[in-house]
Amino acid sequence: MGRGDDRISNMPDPILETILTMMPLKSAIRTGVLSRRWRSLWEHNLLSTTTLDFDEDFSTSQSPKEFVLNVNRYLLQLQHTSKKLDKFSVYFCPFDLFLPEIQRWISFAISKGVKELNLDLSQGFTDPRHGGFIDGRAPFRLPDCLFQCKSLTHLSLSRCDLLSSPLAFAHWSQLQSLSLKLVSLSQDGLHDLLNTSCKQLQSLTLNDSLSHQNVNLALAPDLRLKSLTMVNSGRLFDMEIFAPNLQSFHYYGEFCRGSHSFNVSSLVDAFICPLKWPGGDDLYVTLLTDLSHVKVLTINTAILWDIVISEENEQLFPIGFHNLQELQLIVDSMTDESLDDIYGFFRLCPCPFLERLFIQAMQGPQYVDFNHLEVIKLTNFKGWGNEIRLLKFLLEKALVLESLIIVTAPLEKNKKPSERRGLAILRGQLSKLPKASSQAHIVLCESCEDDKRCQPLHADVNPEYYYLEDRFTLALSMKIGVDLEDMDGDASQDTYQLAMIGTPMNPSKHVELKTFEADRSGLVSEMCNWYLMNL
Amino acid sequence: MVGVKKKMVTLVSSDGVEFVVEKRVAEQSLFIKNALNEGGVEEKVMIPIPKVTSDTLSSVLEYCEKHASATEFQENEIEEWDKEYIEKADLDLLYYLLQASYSMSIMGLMELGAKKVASLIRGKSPQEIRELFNIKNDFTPEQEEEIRREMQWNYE
Repeated sequence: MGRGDDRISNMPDPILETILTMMPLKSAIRTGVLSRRWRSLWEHNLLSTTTLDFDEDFSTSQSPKEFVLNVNRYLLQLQHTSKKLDKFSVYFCPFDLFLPEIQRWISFAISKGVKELNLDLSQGFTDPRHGGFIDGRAPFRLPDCLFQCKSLTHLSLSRCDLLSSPLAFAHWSQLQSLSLKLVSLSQDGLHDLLNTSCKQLQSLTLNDSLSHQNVNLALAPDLRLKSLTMVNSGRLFDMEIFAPNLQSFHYYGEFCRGSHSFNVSSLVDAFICPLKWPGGDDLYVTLLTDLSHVKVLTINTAILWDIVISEENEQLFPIGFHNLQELQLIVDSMTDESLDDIYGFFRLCPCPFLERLFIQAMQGPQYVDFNHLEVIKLTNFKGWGNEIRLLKFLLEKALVLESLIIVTAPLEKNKKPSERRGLAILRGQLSKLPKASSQAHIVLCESCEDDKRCQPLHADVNPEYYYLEDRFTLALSMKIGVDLEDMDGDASQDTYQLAMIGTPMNPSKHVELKTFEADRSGLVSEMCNWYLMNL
Repeated sequence: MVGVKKKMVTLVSSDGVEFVVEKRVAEQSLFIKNALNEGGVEEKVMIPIPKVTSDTLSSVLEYCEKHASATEFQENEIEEWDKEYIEKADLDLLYYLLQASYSMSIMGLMELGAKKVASLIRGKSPQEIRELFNIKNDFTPEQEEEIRREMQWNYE
């Protein structure tokens, strides 16, 4: 086969149709502009599809008007087919003008016997300070036909109005999974939904969807609800859950600061990752005690912290996790404090039958991309774990990076040959880091080889004005007569923290003693003493 | 099993190369499985595979061999293996593998190849896709104009 041949269009239809079904709708539609063959393929594919995802991928780069036009165009083509629809999704930021359109789309999907309906209208203008909507739009009023639809097994609604319908959920008896985000649901509504209407429900997600401050989930023993996910944006206060058949419980967001009561005797897995840590009122510790029979557990720094600071309250501990087989710890970063928290957990919460342990240190910010970043230069590089992590983050995000220049910290005068070898090892380590930009060139050199052509504009500012660590180190070493260069990396970090505390930039005279109490080397505490005396 | 002779079959590629493989490996292909059933198993051990060259067949059999012993591996191990296997195939081989998986009825391989092609198409502009696969734009100027109007939102 020659170079110029169309390798793909000659393939049999079933292969090309399989390819089309493996693409998001937007990409699949795009193939319709390639050639006549692909156009007829796509049209045939549309007529035989059972899934219509007008999802986030589809809606990006379209104005609301275009979005509505396009959805209508495809629905029109499908109108006269007898094909049933399994799944219908819409991700859209509606203006009042288009609300009737959305109601028509829902009616259409229901007329096709849709089983899974996803309606995400949660886009809109939010206040960056608290995340609340400021566009003044009322929640979307769902059409009555949705409440009468009996074929639904999976329903996901976002920024919709459930309260206004007198029909409530009586017809949703086949519903197996329900996810509500920014949907106001009353206590009675929740109770009715779970205990009267949707008795087949297996999975429920409540994302900022309760109109009241307490969640009171009391389930009859014959209900099948197996999985409950709660996301709390701060409104919730009390949490009472009585669900004897519940197997999986996930909790994100702000923690309820009121009372808790859990009766979840069948629970197998729990994921508890609240945003903030409490003011030492043992809330998380009592929650953990209620859930200590689980087999799989994921907790984060907030929980670990609470355990460690509650240690003095002896009657709370130990919490025995006697069924626990898998544990995941999500920690903010792998600092010394994180280690103390992790040790604290294992000391206070024995899990004798643990088989699998996962520890995940938080990544750098995820949705950051550097689309124009071409040069990165790091000086005084020491090859510590933190620095390598920072480099890994930058290399993964800088899409068009051309060069990364790393200048190592100056070596001691009486440098040992082993440190030279360190440089070679470092070079090997760096070359293995994944790079988003294939053309990125990594230069690793010693300070004496530093190419001065690549310098920041402010390269000549006197280091005395900004390099706090040096000033402090100098003062310290003069006073107590030790060579601070000999300290390990951790101790230097502590020095750095000390320096920060005492500078005009940070006028706080309050010294956080946690770091110092947990110190490992006598040198650091000696430094602290000196520092506190001179404050 | 020790002492039990493994049942073997011989597959003949379109360019006449013979491949002797275990029956359970060859049966990953429904086409071969049916051919074996029709022919009364023991006698018919020579099966021609039309339209599949020896190069492609050897790659197809690599896939079949792995998946015939899939039960020995964890699911994610197989997934990893599939990923690497399809990743190292260039466009030519990918094209031949898809054709072969279709004519030999190996659904798993066909889906794997289709997924790879889908990932190549995804996110590319129509012009980029045409260039990659040498697809000729055979619309009349009028049709093209109409499509362009209709698809303006999806062109970038």
